[in-house]
Amino acid sequence: MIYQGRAAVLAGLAVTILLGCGGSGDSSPSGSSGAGSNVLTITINPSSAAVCTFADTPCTQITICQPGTSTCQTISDILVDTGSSGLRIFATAITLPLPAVHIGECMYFGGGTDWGTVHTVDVILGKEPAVSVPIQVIDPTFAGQYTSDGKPASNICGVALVDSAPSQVGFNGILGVGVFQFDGGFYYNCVPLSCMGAAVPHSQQVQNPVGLLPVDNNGVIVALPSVPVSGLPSLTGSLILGIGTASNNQPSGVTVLPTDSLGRIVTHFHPSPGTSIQEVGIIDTGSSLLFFGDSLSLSIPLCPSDPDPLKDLSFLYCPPSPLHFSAVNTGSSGSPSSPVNFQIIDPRPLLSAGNGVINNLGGPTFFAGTFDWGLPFFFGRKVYVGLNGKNSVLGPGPFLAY
Amino acid sequence: MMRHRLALEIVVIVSLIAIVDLQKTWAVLGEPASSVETDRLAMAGQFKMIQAQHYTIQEITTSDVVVKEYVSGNTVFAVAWRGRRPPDLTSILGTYLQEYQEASAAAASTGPRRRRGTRIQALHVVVETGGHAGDVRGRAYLPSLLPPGVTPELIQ
Repeated sequence: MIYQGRAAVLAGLAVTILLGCGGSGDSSPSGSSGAGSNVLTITINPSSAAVCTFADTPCTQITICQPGTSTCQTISDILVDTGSSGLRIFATAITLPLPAVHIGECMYFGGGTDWGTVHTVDVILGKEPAVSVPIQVIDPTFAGQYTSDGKPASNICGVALVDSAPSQVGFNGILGVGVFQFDGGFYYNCVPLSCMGAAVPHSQQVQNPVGLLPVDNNGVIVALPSVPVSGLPSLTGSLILGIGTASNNQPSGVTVLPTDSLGRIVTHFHPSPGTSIQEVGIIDTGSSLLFFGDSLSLSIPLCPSDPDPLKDLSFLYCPPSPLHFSAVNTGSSGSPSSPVNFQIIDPRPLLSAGNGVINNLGGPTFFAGTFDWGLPFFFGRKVYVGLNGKNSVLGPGPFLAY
Repeated sequence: MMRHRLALEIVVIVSLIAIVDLQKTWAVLGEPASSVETDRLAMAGQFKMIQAQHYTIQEITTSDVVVKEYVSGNTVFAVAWRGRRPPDLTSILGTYLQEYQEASAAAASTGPRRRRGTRIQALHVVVETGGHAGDVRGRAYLPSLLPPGVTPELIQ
């Protein structure tokens, strides 16, 4: 995520208490989705956002309720992430009273670690029926493991820092809607100042709430409009629940790429005509740009570095003129294949113009042999994320399709 | 530390059968390679040594992560990892922990990070992380101790 415009409003956190918001059971009696009830609005850099204000970072809102009640809270600025599974929300963004619990979780991401408690709550996605699902409440100080600014105390996760606040990471929470049901985190039994590894049954592990929906439970579609080369100040799109389960999620003309057991596909990247490099590919809304190659071997200059982290764009490519590339994505076993053309531009003029939605944004991967298709890949496409263990008109998950 | 007399790749695999202890001790950046001997003893999993031209890689595989410790002139100059979880950076960074935390905090408080892929350049140490949930990667290295001809890209 690139910092875009200073979020002045840190108090309030854009949360709203909704009492009597219809926790469970005010949807259609059959539990099936009516028109549009399976849609969450995705926004990128809207003027209304208090926390989710980084460029090319898609956020939505969800509602959590005390189990079996209509005492609920709607929380905005939740990052939509196809690269992880499960809902996690900062404790500081939650005003809904939750009971004390003793299960803690370390969740490791590519760019950060979340420590906190595990609570089973009712979660409402769009206008779907509420589902009862364990979520992570991100709380560095739980069981005395980290300080409030994320530094190690007892350090059960074994990291130098954990995520400490919405203002630090740019979201109130993460809605992981990747290809797997379970989050793969590490669970612990805790007493006030001490935790021990614990075997937690699947039913109590943080997991993808989509897989628990009565009907629209076999995956999601990320649908974002196209973005001009000059960028846009903000963008609105949809997270559609279910694949082929309702009138608004019927796929047509897509290529289905089965993933491996880590959610990865194969990307054959063509840095120049006649050259092809086989890499591991991921397709991930939680990445704000295309991470691929390196500056030296691709001969693309990096943007200038700056001692002020606000202005430091040295993790981005800044080509003197737009560059055109192609690649072929295949399923993890090598077929089928689907070509992709993309462009990389110097984003600085767009950022200076205040555009928080930027197409053609790229930067080097730190790790050779990986191609991370971040948010720019999603512009102008519908991307289907098929859940492991579920079937759809596109076949069994796990798959990515577009 | 076992020294390697044969040219090119000598691979020694020692299988250790033990209960996995999550509080592992890892090599410490900038300290003598003897600290990797501690790891070998403390670790469950497999140990492998790879001889490159200007350095040695000590590779340790556990059920959760593969850690490669890069050693030159008997000093650990880089550590790379890949797995379900990272190794304990607080011990790998050793005396560089505080400068890393301060640089991270400065980056976070003034301009938030990217969710996938972070690069923290502190005074003496660089830490880069990436990957995604279930497949996290990273490397930490001391730029001033990189052997001639060794670029950060080689640390994988």
